Amino acid sequence: MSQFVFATGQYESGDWDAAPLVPANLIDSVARYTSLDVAPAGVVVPLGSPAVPGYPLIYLTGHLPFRLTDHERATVRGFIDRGGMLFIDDHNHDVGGIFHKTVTEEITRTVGPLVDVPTSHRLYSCFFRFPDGPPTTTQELNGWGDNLVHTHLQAVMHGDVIQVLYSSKDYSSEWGYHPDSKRFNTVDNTKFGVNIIVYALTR
Amino acid sequence: MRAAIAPRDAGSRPPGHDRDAVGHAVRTWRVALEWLLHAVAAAALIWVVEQAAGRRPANVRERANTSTLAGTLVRWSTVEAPSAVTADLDSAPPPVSRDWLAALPGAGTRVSWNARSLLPLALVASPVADPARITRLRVASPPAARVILRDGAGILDTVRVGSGGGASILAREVRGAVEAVAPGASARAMTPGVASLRRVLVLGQVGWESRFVVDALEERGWQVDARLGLAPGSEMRQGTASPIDTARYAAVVVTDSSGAITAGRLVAYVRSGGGLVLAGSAAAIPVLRELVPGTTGTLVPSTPIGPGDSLASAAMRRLALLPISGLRSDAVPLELRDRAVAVAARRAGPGRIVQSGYLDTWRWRMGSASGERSHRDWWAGLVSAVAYAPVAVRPAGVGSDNAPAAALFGALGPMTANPAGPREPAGPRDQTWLFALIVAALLAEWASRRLRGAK
Repeated sequence: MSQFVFATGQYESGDWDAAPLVPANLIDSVARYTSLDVAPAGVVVPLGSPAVPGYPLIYLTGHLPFRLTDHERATVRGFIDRGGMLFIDDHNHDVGGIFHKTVTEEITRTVGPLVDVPTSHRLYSCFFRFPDGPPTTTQELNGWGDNLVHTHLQAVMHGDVIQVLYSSKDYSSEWGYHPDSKRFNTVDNTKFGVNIIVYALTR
Repeated sequence: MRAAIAPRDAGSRPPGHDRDAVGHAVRTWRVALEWLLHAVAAAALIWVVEQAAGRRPANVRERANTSTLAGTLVRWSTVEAPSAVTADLDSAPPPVSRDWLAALPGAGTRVSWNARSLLPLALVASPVADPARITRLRVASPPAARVILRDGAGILDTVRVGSGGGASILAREVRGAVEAVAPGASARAMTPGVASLRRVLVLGQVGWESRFVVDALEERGWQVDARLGLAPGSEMRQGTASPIDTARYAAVVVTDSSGAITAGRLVAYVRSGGGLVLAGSAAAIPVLRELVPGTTGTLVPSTPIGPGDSLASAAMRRLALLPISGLRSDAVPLELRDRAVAVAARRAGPGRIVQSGYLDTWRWRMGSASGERSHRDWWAGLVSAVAYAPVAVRPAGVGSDNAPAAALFGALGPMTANPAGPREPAGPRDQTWLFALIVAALLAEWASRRLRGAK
């Protein structure tokens, strides 16, 4: 059985590598809480690369304007059509920010419109339980970014199945620390990241 | 004056004596003729009565061909009853005519037949255990024959029979009876009813393989339950937690060796008729050793699937493979890759097992343009091959004529090399003349009697 490999998507515009510690932290959490066979290191996959279909879950983040090239757009469309899933996180935590505006426009154009994910969705219960929906982040509670607590994640849905999961909560900042520091946390804030991966593997 | 009466000569006769003698003779002959006419009329009447009573004329032979057979059979059975008949056939007659011919010897008529140009054609329709309502149509005929397959809605396909004399297709949503038509021959088959399909259970570890196998089967229409290991003491469940038996599951798919937790129950499940698909390392689960078609060989690593691998077969060749080695004597290889057995099957009692050596088939689905469909069809084919699917059986033979030529031989026996009775088929005999004869004889007798003064 092949290992689960955490893949970070590299796109030609913007700063795709804005959260380099997130993959290692989530890999650590998956290995810590589940029996999944997970690769110890993540990979970086250019979105226009033929290697994209080899990683059915791809994580994207950034602060800067997000725009796909035609080739990237075609690859992403095919990837989504065959069952792949994108997880995109706004590293700005700002619904008025440039990343949010450009990424929502680009995803709407490439895949489809984003809608709120209901808090009853299986995403919030497939491993750990989050009855109130997506956990809040330090950035939200401290009033950074747009000074809002976003109560819902958004997604491009096919029926009940999430094809593109979009977060404006800035989990990239929340999970962007070295895995060894996790022991100092009272509550492991990466548990929701485990849910995203488990959901992608079982949806 | 005394009249002298001259004595007559001894040899002389009185006047008028000759006329009397002649008249007497004529009357004698006339009476005899009247008796003769009476006898002729009576004999003719008896003969007619005998004919009407069904007395078989001796050594009457009849002949019919395919186009006239149906009508001729009616005549043979109602008007005539020939002692021997010969059917010259250029194609297989319909079942009613065939059975009718076969029944004639029971009524005392010898039947011989020949059909030098008869094309042997056979058709079997069997439902596939697949939610897409697929019917497998198998045709047998002489090699290179072109056979049209059609159902109640129209033509399904045209097949060219191979050198082995057989061809097979899968048809969706077949309506009513299926007919195979070749020049000069046709066969008809009814599908034996829709298979009753249970659910499919997928066992293994949470991962891309199990996820995309579930996806593929659900997209095909199967209702899928899943029990996938996620963490120690924790599993991801989809569907109900039902016992693994044939009342609930048509097939169980084990995607990897982590399905060992419940594997013990699979042996009894297969022994009771269940279907089992063992993918990749699942065949190495020790408790399933008595079921597997073969052992797993040395891993052949995968190579990247590229845009050039648009064909399903090309993409599949790039998957990692655990070749199946040490095949059991009762196992059948289903798929080869570079002379290595990639897929094999065997039976264990009423149950069936398919072992696939391919690993990470999800890469096939994700990696090629046609991969999604090919992956779905391939997995659906594996599950259909083993699925436990009780079939609603129709009464034998109703509406079917699967192999008309074979049935003809079965009903009538071997063809007759030199059929006897070369007489052409005769129409119903015209017996008006006989009636006229009787009437004429009786009228003549009556007239003769009246003219001579008798009553």
